[in-house]
Amino acid sequence: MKLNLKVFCAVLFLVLPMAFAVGGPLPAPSTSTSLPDEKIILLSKDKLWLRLLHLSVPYTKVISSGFYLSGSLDPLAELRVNLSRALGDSSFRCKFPARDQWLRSQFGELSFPDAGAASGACAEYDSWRGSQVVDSISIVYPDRNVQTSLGVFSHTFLKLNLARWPRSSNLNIALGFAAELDPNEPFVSLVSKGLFGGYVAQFTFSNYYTEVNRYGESESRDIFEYDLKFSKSEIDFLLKHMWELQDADFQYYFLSGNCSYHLLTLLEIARPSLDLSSGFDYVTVPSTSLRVVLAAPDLVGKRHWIPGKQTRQNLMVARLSEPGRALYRELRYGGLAFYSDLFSARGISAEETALILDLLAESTRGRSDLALLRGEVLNYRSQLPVGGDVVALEFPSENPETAHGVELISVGFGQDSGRSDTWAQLRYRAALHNVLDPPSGYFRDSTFELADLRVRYYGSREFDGSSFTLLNAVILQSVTEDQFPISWRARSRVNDFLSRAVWENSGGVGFSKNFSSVSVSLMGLAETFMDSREKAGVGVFAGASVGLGFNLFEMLRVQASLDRLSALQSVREGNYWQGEVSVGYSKNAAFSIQSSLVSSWRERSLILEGLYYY
Amino acid sequence: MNFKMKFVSMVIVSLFVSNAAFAVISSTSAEFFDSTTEGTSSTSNSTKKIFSQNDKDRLEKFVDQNFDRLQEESARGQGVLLTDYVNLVGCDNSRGVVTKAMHDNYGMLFNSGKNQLVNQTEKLINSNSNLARACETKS
Repeated sequence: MKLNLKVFCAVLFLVLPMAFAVGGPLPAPSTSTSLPDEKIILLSKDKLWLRLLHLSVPYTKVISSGFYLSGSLDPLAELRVNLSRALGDSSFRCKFPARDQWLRSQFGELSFPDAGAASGACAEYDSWRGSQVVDSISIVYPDRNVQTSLGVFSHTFLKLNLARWPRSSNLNIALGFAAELDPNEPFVSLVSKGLFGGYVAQFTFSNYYTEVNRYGESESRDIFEYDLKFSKSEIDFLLKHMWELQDADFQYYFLSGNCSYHLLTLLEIARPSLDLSSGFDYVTVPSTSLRVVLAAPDLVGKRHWIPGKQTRQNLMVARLSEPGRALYRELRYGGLAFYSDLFSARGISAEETALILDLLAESTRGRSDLALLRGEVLNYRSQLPVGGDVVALEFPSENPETAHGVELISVGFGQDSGRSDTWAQLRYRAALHNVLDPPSGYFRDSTFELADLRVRYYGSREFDGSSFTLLNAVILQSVTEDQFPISWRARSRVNDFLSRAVWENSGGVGFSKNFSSVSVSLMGLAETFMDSREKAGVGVFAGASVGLGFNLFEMLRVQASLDRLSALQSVREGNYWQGEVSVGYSKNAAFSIQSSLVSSWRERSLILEGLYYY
Repeated sequence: MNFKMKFVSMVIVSLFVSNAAFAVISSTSAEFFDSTTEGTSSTSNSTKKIFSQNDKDRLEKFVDQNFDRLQEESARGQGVLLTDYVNLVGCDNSRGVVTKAMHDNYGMLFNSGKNQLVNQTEKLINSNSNLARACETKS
C-alpha cells in the first residue's frame, strides 16, 4: 500500500485553512493610479513585497482591517495603492515605514515626498524609533521538558537587545507570536479551531525577565540564545515592519502558522536573501525551525545559555564538598536548626558557606513552609562578603544543535516465537523521542512518541504484525526528598491492522526515582483491547509495572520493564506477564541502532533496528 | 472510511495534539511601542523625589515579578537581576557601589516586604551622598 502522507497533508493544509478562514470581508479598494505598469506587475511578485504583506503563503495573511490598503489580498492591487499613497501622502511612512522604504528603493525614478516633511505627523513613530534603539537580535529556544504539555515541543521567540541595556540584561524585550486561547474552551472546539485557523494571534512583546521567569524558573528549562548577525540596517528594517504589525491580527494554525513559522518570516524580512520558511509549509516544529536558522549561512553569531533553576541547583551541588553537601541536605531536608556558627563548627570554608547559603536560598524560594529558614539564610548571606558566581555560564556540550531530528525512519529485522520465518520492518515516526534515542537535547528517562507506523513483511510473503501507535508516552519525573511528582505512561496502538485490527490502550501512574545514570519506576497499570476478529474480543486488565533504565557513556542506553496484568474481563488468559528489554546505541544524533526483546501474552519477538533521524 | 483515511486522520490528530504546545496564552504588550517605556527614568532631581510615578510603576512591576530572586542576588551582592534593578533605578553601577550598598543594607531594603522595596531604595539613595551621586549620573 502506498501512503503518500505528505502530499495528502499538503493538500489538506492548503485547502482547509482557506475554507475555514475567519474574519469578515475586507474594505473595498480605495484608489488606483496610472504608474509604470510593467514594473509594478513585476515587482508585485517580488518576494520581499509578498513577505511585507504576509502573503507568501495563504495561511499567514493578516485578517485585521487597515493592513491591506487595497482591501484585497491581491499583491498587485496592494502595490498600486501603496505606491499611490506613498507618492501622494508624506505621512504614509508614519504608518507603513518598511513599505515606504521598499517602495522608495524600488521606484527611485519617481518623486516621493521628502521623508522629513511629515515630521509632525510622524511624531509618534519618530519618538518611538528614537527611544527604542535595538543593538542586536537573538533567537531564543527554551529547552524541552516534560513537566508541562507545553514543554515537549518547546518554543522559539526573539530577543531584542536594546542599546540602553547590556546584552545579558533581562530588561531587554522578548518578541513572540502567540494566540489568545480561552483556557475553558471545550477540547473539540479547541482542536477544530486550532487546526483550521479559528484563533486570532498577534506578535507580542514582553520583558525578557517575564520569559526567563516562566521558562527558566517556573518550568526549570535551560534557555539557549543565539545572536543573529543582522546589520544595523537589517534590524532597522525589521523594526519598521514591526511598527506596521502592531495592530495586525493573524489566524493561528497549530501545525503551520504557529509561533516558529511566523518568526522565520520576520527573519526573512530583515534579510531578504534568507529562505528559512519554505520547508515548513505544512508543519513547523520549533526545534526544527531552529536547526534551519542555525544552518543558514552567516546568520548565527555568539551562543549564550541561561541554566534553568534545576540545572543551576545541580551545578551548585556539584561544586560542594562532601561535608558541605551533607550539611546542605541536613538544613534543607533534615530540619537541622540554622545558626551562623554551624558552618565553622563543621569546618566549612567561608567560600563554601556562601555557596551553601546561595543554594539554600534558591531551593527554598516559593516554599512557604521553609520561609523562616529562607529568611535566616538570606540575612546571614548578606553579612558575608559580596561574590560567589552561582555557576560558570559556559555553553553546554549538550544543546539544541546536538539533538536528533524530530522525525525518523528505520529499517528493522526480527523474528517471532512460533514462526520460523523472519520479517523485515519499515518504520516512520512523525515525532519525537524515545528513551533509547540519543538523549542530547531531549528529556532524559522519558519517551514521547506520536504517529509511529511500522509495516512488517514476513519471509513467507505476508504482511502481519504491522502496527500504528498514535501515542506512546512514558513520562518519568523523579521524586526528591520533599517532592513527589507523578510519573505516568499512556499508549494507544492499533496492532495487526493489515490482517485484523486489535486496538490496545494502556495507561499507568506511579513514581520514579533517578540515581545518577539509573532510573527506577513503579506504576499501577490499566489496559484494554478490542479485537475485531474475535467474538466479544474485548479485554480489561489491571496490574503493575516496574521499570529500570540506565545510560552508559551517553552512547548506550538500556531500558527494561516488566508488567503483570490481571484480567477483569477478557477472552484472553486471565493473568499474564509482559516484559521488554531494549538497548539503544548511538555515537551521533543522526543514526542509532536499537534492539528489543519483547515478550507478551505467549508471544516473543526479537527486533534489530537501524534508525535515521531527520 | 478506508484504512488510508483512518491513518491520515490519526496522524493529523496526533500532530495536532503535539503542536498544540506551540500556542501560548499571552496578552499583547504594547509597551514596546511606548516611547516612554523603560530606561528613560530621570534622576536629575534626586534630592528628595528620585522616581517619577512612571519610574515607580516600572520598578514596581519589575519588583513584583522578580522579588524573590532580587532578594537572593542582593544578599549575594551580585547578579543579573540586581544589576537590572540598579539600572532601572537609573544608577551608574560601573564600580559596583550601588549593588554593594544593596548587599550591605539588605535588611533595611527587604525586611519590609515586596511593596516597600522601591521606597526603601529611594530612602537608601537619599541617605548616602555617594549613592546619590551614582544615581544622578544617568538620566
